[in-house]
Amino acid sequence: MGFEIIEHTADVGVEAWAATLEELFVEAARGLIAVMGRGTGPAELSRRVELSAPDVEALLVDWLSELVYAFEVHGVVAADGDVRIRRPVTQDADWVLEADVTGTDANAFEQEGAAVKAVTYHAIEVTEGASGARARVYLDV
Amino acid sequence: MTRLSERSPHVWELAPVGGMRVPGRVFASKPLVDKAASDKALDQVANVAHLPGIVGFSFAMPDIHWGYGFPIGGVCATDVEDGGVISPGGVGFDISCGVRLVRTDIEAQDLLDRRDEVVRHLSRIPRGVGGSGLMPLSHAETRRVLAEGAPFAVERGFGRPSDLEVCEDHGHLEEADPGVVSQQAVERGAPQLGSLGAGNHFLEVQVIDEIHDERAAEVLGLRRGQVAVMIHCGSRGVGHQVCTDEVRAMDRAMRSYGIEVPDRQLACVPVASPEGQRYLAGMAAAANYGRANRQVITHGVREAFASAFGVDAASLGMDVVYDVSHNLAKIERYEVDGRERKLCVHRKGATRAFGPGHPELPDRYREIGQPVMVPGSMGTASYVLVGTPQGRDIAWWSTCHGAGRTMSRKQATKQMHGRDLQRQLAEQGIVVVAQQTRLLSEEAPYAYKDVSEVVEVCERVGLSRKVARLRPVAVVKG
Repeated sequence: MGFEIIEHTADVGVEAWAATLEELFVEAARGLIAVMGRGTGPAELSRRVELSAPDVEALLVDWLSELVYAFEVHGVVAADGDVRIRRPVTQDADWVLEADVTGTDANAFEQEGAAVKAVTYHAIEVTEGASGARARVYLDV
Repeated sequence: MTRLSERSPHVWELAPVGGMRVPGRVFASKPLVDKAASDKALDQVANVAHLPGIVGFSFAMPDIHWGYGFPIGGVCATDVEDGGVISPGGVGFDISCGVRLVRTDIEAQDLLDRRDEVVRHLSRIPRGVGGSGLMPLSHAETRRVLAEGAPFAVERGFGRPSDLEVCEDHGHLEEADPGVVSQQAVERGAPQLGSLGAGNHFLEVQVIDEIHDERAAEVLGLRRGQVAVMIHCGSRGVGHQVCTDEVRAMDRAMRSYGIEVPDRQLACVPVASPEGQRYLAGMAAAANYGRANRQVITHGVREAFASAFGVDAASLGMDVVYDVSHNLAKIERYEVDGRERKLCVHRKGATRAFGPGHPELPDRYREIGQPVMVPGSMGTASYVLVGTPQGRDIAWWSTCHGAGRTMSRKQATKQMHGRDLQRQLAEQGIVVVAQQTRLLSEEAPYAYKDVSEVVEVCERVGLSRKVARLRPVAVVKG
């Protein structure tokens, strides 16, 4: 599992990969934070996140958007998380995510890159296969 | 991109294929169009042409570059009464991001004598990630800003009532409804009013070094050798969150209107639908925050100059020349095919540029047309332009918004360390202070197109006319 920051003329993207969808969401979150810099304090803060979305791509956008908000308003720099994803059982049902995020304090954040303003749907991809799960998402900076 | 052909000098057409409802039209010189073709910007021009109800062309200004959904520099009008859609992606996350120009009575040499003092005071204006602005607010006050815009700031003593006379919409969009703005957006915005933010936002002290149109410059109160301050920023976390919320809502609602788009970031619904009206009300509220933000920062700039010069700001002139957005959608009326139509004009990284005589212009500018400020990259010139009579029929009264990036941030930082760039600019007579010196080269002049070429193309095709050129002497980066 891991992530890579990818280039875009004006903005920046994150590619992440992991064995499971849940780990993929954690890696994407790490990528989001790494675009901006790194938390230097102990991961003492925690935050509960509950989301639902019509498909897995939208769920990823909502998840990362929630972390941008948590960073800006609550000063929580996501470092790790216990992510649980429930897939829809019927065609009309939503994907559901519940997570307990642990994070460092934004007051002890070392900025190394641009600030992420928002998460886009542009060319978004989430795929799952025999070799695991992969995602690509572009961020507005 | 073989589908692209030059129809007349600097006007390129992208023939419609597949689901494109109209052709694309790109205003650019050959070098600029080649740059646009080198990333995905032209594909995005084609994607925008898929939007239901689009009228005329999917336009791109000469500073076009790859965005998300819309290209940056994209302009598109949809027919409100004929199923035309509105797309939050056609406005962008930084709703009502724009530029304000403040002129002074200070001569270049007097500024240079006190430049360090000016920079020291200006750099106290909050910038960078998060943090608190000059006017932190309660949630209730934030909702008032969303409803009232720049007049709220003036009422609190941040600026002069006369400032509002020369702001687009007088700094206030009436159609705003704070009730549709999420609590998350309010929480993001509450501490941030009066802050620049990060990225390409800045405060720049400039000297007017060339006048291209004497009469228009006189009307705008601009003359050679005079110092001016350019403010480039937007609606901060409020705009980012409103756009996030509304793209999410439209992505879900779009299916029920049977709309499909080639890129999900183009999520859209009919302007006339409840979701469309809700977005317009939320967008206007975020725009009001953006206008108030530039108003509060203007006050901060005046105070900084007053402290640096040890006099009252009023004795330094420091009048607002104009304030205009380059990320916004507006309902405007145009005659198309002999019939008046209500169009929703999306300008994403493009600036409205009304021609002379337009009724929405301030009286004192009616004769010359609407001023447009085009910031260059730090280290290069910026321009003041005005709209033209023919601009209406060329691209819905629109022109460029800046130089336009040509290089990714990573590429830009690889070429030069921020500290070296800072030294190089200092040798050119430009003092630059940044929150993170290391990151300065992300915004280096070489990462952008040539702004002079961009405004030249706009003039050649008739979108706008040059009035004045300004060169930077001090830059405070977000």
